[in-house]
Amino acid sequence: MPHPVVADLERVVGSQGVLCDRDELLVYECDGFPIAKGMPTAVVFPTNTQQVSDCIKVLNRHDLQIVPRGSGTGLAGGAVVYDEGVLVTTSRMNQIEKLDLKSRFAVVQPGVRNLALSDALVGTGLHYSPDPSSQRASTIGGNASTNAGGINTLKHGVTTNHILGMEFVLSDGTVMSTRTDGLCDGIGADLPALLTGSEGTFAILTKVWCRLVPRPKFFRTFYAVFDSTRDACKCVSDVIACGIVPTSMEMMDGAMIQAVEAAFQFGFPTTAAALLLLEIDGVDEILDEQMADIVEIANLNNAHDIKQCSDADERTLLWSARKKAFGAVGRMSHSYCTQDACVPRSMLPEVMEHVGKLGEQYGIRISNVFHAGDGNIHPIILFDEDDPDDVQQTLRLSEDILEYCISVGGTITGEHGVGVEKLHLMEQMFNADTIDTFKRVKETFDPDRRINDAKLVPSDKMQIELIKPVAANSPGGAVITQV
Amino acid sequence: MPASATKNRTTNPKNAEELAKVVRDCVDTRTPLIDYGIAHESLGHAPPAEHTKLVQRRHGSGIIEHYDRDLIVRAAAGARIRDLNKALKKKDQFLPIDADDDMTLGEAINHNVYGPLRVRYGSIRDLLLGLGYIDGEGRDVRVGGRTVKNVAGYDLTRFMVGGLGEMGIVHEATVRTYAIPKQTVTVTIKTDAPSRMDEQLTEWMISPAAPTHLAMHFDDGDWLIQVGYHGSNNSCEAQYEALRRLALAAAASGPFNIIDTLHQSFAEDHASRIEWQRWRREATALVKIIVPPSQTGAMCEKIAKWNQEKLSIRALPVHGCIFAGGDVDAAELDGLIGDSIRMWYARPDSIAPFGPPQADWPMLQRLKNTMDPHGILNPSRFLKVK
Repeated sequence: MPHPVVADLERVVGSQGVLCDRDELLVYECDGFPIAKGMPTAVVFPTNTQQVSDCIKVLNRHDLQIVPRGSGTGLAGGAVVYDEGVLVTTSRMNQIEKLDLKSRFAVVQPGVRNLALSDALVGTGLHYSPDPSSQRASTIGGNASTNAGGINTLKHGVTTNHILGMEFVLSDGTVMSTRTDGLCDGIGADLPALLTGSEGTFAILTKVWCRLVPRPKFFRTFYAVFDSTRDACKCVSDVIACGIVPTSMEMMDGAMIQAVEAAFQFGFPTTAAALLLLEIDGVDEILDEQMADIVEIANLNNAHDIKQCSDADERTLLWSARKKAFGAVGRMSHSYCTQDACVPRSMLPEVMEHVGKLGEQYGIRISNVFHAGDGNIHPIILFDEDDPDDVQQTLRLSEDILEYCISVGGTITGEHGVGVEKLHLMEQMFNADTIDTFKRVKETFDPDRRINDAKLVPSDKMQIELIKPVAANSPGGAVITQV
Repeated sequence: MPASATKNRTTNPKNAEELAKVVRDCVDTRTPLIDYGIAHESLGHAPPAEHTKLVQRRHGSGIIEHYDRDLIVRAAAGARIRDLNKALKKKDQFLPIDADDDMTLGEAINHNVYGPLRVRYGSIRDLLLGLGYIDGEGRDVRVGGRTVKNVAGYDLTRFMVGGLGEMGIVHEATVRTYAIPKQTVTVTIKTDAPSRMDEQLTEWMISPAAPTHLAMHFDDGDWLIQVGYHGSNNSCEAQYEALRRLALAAAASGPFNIIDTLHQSFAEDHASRIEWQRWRREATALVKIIVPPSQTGAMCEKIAKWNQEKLSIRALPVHGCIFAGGDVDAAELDGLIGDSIRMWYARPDSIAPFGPPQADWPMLQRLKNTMDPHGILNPSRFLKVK
C-alpha cells in the first residue's frame, strides 16, 4: 500500500513523476557512497520550479524529510533518505535556458549534466570549466550543492569560482533567488558562495547562473614515471613552489597504474611506483618553455620515461584513462570507498607515506589516484561490503587517514563533501563556536530542519552513525537515533 | 574625518581573544562597533555616530604564517596591503587584488575589493581560503583553512566577502598568492566607441591576446583602454603581437588605436593599476554600478554623454563593473543608472546608498539577525538592525 503522500505528489507532477514501488526504489537507496543506505518513502521528479515548491509543501503536510538528489553520483551519502522521507530528484529539470555568449554566462536548470553544458558550447570558444570525473553523469545542481572540483581546478578553480547566481526553494516552499542576470557582483555578503557546497541542506536549487570562460586552445600534456611516490609528490610540491600553475597535476600509484593499464591499455609502465599526469595551457609560444622548466624539476626528482602526448587524440586518450580510473578499481575489489582529504601541497610526500603505512597496519589494500596539484588525495580503500568486520575496519582506517590529514593542516574533504560519511569528524575539524554557527545558519534557512537534516552538520534532531553496522536499524547499516 | 574625532573611541585589540571581549563588551553596553579603516575614512561613508566604537588594528606586516612553497599566506586582518606585498616580495610573490595600498586585508574582504587584475587572478573571493572572525555575540568562528580545496562545513569564508563587516569582524585570513611575473607589458588603446567593446570582448577573451588585466578610463572627454600582460618575456611579446593584429582588424570597422606600449617593471605596473583607487578617494560623488558584462560599454557611453566635462569613469568590462564620479550632480547621475545595481560611496544624504532592492536581501537580513542578533556590527550600513 503506497504512502498517502504518493497520491498528493502525483497530483503535482503526474503519475510518471513519482516512484514508490520497492523494486524501483532500490536504485535510490544510496548514492556513490555504498556504505550508507536508506530506503526512501518515494522518489519525485519535478520538472520546474513551481513543481519543486508544490512538492515541498506536500511533503511538509505529511511531515516527511525532504532530500534533494541530482543524478546520485555524490560520494558522501548526502543524497540518501535515512529518516522517513522523500527524494526530490532534479534530474528531469534538464533544460539549458540561456547561453549568453556576450556576457559569458549560462542559465541552466539543476538537472543539466555537467558535460551537456560544455557540449552545448562547442564551437563558441567558451566552456563551463569545472570538470569532476563524474561529469558525464553528474548534474550542475549536484556540482553546485557539493562545490565539486575536478581535474582542471588547479588553474581554473572549483565550482564556487564559476557560479554567479542561483534560484532556490526553501523548506516552506518559498522561491528565492540571488545574483541573477549574469552579474559578476552584488550588494552585501555573498549568498551564492554560502549556498554552493551546502549539500542540499538549505534549499533545493532550481536554477543556476554559470560563468563561462574561454576554452583553452593550446596545451602540452605529458606524463612522468617515478620509482617512489615520495619523489612524485616532491616533484608536485616543487612545481608549485617555483610559481608555475599547471592546468592539472594528477597522480596514480603503482596499484592504480596496473588497474588502469589492464582496463585501457594506454601503455603505462606497470612496474612504476607512481605516475604523474601533467598538463599546462596558455599562450602557445611559451608552453614549450614552461614545459622544459617542469621537466627539469621532474628530472631533479628522479623522474624517468617522461612522455609528451603527440597529438589531440593521444591527449584525449590519456585523460580518458585518468577519468575512468575509478571504473578500473572494480578489477581490484567489488567494494571500495574513496577518501577525499586535502592537505597543503608541501606536505604531500609525508601524507602519502603515512597513508601507505596505515594501510599496512590495518592489512587493507589502498590504491591512489588523485589531484596532486591541489593536495587533494583520494585513497581508495578496497573492502568487502558483505563482511561487517571489514566494513568496520574500513571506516576506522578512513578515520585515521582523515585525522592525520587534519593534524598536518589539511581538511577532511576537498571536493566530495561531508554528507553523513564525515559528519563525526566535523567536531575535530571545527571549534565549538564554529559548529554552533553552522547549526544556526542551517536553521536560518530551514528552521524546522526538514531539508536533508543531519547531513554536513550534526543535528540536534537526528543522529546518523555509520560506525556500528552490526547494530544497524536501517537497511544499509546506519544507526539512526531520533533525539 | 580628523584623527582627533576618532581617537578616544578606537580600540586596538591585539588578537582574536581581545577582539571577542571588545564585541561582548559592546553587546553588554549596546555600543555599535565598526571595523574602521580607509574604506570608511575616505570613501564618503557617513562619520560614525558619537557613541560608536571603532576597531583599528595596526600591528606590523601582520603576516602570521607564509607557506611560501604552497603560495599561501595567513595574515592578520589588520595587515595593510602595502605591508603584505612588501613581505611577500621577499619570496617573489604578491597578492593580486588591486586594493588601495593603505587598505587592510580585512577591509578588502568586507568591501569585496577588486580591480583590473580580476581578469586573470579573480577577486578576493577567489583568492580567499580561510577566515577567522568574531560574530556579533563574541564567538570566534574559524572556517576554511590553508588548503586550496576545502568543502568541509558551510562556506562562510566566501560568504563574508562584501559583507561590509555587518556579519562579523574578520581577524585573520588565509589567501592564495602568486609569483611576481618576470615581465609586464601595458598597452593603451584609444577609442571613441566603448560600446563596441561589448560586441568584441568575448572574441578578444578567447583569442591569444586575452589580457591579464583590462580597464577602461574616461577623463576629459577621452576614452582609453588599458590592457596589461603578465608573464615571461616571450609570452608578453606574443600576446602584444596578437593584440596588435586584433586592434588592426578592429580598426577597419572603427577606431581602436594603440597609442602607447610600456614594458614596465612590476612595481610600475602595480602603480598604474591602482591609480584609480586614489581617484576614488578624491571624487566628491562616486558610485559603483554593476551591469551584465555585455552592457558595460553602453552604460559607460550613456553616462559619459550626460556630463563629459566633469564626469570620470573607470570600468572593468570583463566583469560589468563601472565606477563613475567627479564633481557632478549625484541625483541626476543616479537617475541615469536606471534599474542597474548601484552602490554609492560619496553621495548626498538624499540618495539611497544601495539599490534597487534585490531578491536576496530578505535572506541576507535573516542571516544578519542570526550572526549579529544584537545588531551591533556596523549597524544599518546596509542591512537593518532588529
